[in-house]
Amino acid sequence: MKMRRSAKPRRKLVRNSSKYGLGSPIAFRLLLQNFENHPALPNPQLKRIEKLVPQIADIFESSLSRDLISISAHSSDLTTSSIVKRSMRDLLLNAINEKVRGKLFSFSIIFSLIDCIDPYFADASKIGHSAAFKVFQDTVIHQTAYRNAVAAHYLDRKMGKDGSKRVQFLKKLKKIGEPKFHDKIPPGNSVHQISIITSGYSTKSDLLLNEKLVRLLKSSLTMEEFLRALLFMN
Amino acid sequence: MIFSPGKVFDPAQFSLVDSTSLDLLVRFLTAKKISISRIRNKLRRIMPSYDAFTYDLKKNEMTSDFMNLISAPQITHEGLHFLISERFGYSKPGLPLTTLFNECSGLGMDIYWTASICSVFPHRIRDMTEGYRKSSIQTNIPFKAQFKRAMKNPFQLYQETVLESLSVFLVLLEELEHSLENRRIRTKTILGKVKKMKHINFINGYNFSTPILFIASHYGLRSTRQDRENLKKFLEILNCSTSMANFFEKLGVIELTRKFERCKS
Repeated sequence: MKMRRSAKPRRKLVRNSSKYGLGSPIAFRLLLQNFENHPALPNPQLKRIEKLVPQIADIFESSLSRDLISISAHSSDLTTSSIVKRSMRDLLLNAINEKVRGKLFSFSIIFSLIDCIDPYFADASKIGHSAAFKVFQDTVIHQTAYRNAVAAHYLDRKMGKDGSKRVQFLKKLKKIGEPKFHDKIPPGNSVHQISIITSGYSTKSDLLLNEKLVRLLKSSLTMEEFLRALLFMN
Repeated sequence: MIFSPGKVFDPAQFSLVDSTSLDLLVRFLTAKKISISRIRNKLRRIMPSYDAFTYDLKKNEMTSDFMNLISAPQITHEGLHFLISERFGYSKPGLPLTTLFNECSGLGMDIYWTASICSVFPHRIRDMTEGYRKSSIQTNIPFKAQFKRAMKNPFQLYQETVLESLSVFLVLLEELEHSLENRRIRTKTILGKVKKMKHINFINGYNFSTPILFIASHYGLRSTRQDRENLKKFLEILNCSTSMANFFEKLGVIELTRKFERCKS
């Protein structure tokens, strides 16, 4: 008789996982625990598609799909970085109670946080966790400002005003300066993803939530403190 | 700055291989009074994805490659987008398929010109196909034999590339709809479709997610009857065309140019 393959999610980590969280072990453990609470099924086919047609997973990220996760091209196991990114995403979604509609600007900071979490662990093992956290704070604030400007221009475009506001947008982008995007998703694409997730509008509570997340990030001294604050935010 | 025939960058070699199709679109764009946008050029330099982010053909704008000049492949690429929009309608809610086939029509243009030029000037094969050869290493699909066949009939290659990319777009559109309805994404179906793409080397790392996300976020995924009829008509025109110029003529480039010229006078 043919045995049925187990539907259990495989959560084995790749070989370098023991080194990954060394710089900031408590924050790493917190994220791993959170991942255990929100299991995700690895999807080897997704990586094979991405090899032929790049960045195809961007499409499905916009549906906040829970069961898909892109896996390492060289092994059939989940990579630590993808686990950490996914866990951060779930933690943030949980913190905002999964209420995503109308939260266009809040998702600018959410996407920036997800984007910067993997480089944080890389920095932490090199320069120490508190110095790495300062870099993380600055990068997230910078990226959020850039994404907010792009999102505001997206809203202008929706109202048919983007033509007249292009000069203003250009000046704003020049002032902010080009941020380093770790995930290599063009900011235009990520704003389109955000627009699909949030139905493309912003409410008053969105601006309050955005400020709250920025305040929380600025007031935290370590990543561990920030993650705990997110855990108890809901 | 308004587009005129003098704004074509280095037209000589392109005119030698296919002057008719280039001339048809240059005349069409001139009659349509397309402008070359400086601010768009500046924004593109700061945010490279700006064009894809705020793509809007209704604005009648193009960006230049160099010193307010536009290359022939870009003229035919952008010109075809304008032509299809005039014929089938500009992007709006209810026309996702129309927007997608319009996007696909531009996709094959690059390889069409490359194959056409290389068939006339074989010494240029090496430098003009470097990008495609690199892509072939990644996709593991042999390039040489495919390109040899392409040089014999560049328009047939264009047709096949457009049809293939369109079929991938349609699957992706369907799967995005599934995932937004919280249904399981059928990655196996997508993989099967992508693996069948024989001309994937010629698309050269194209980001399929950008147009899909653009359509979903700006216009929604609901397709109307008109939209489906547009797709059917477009496929009919594409399949029965014999050359690029013939394809443009069947899309109505001559009638539309006359119409714009009459409006001008």
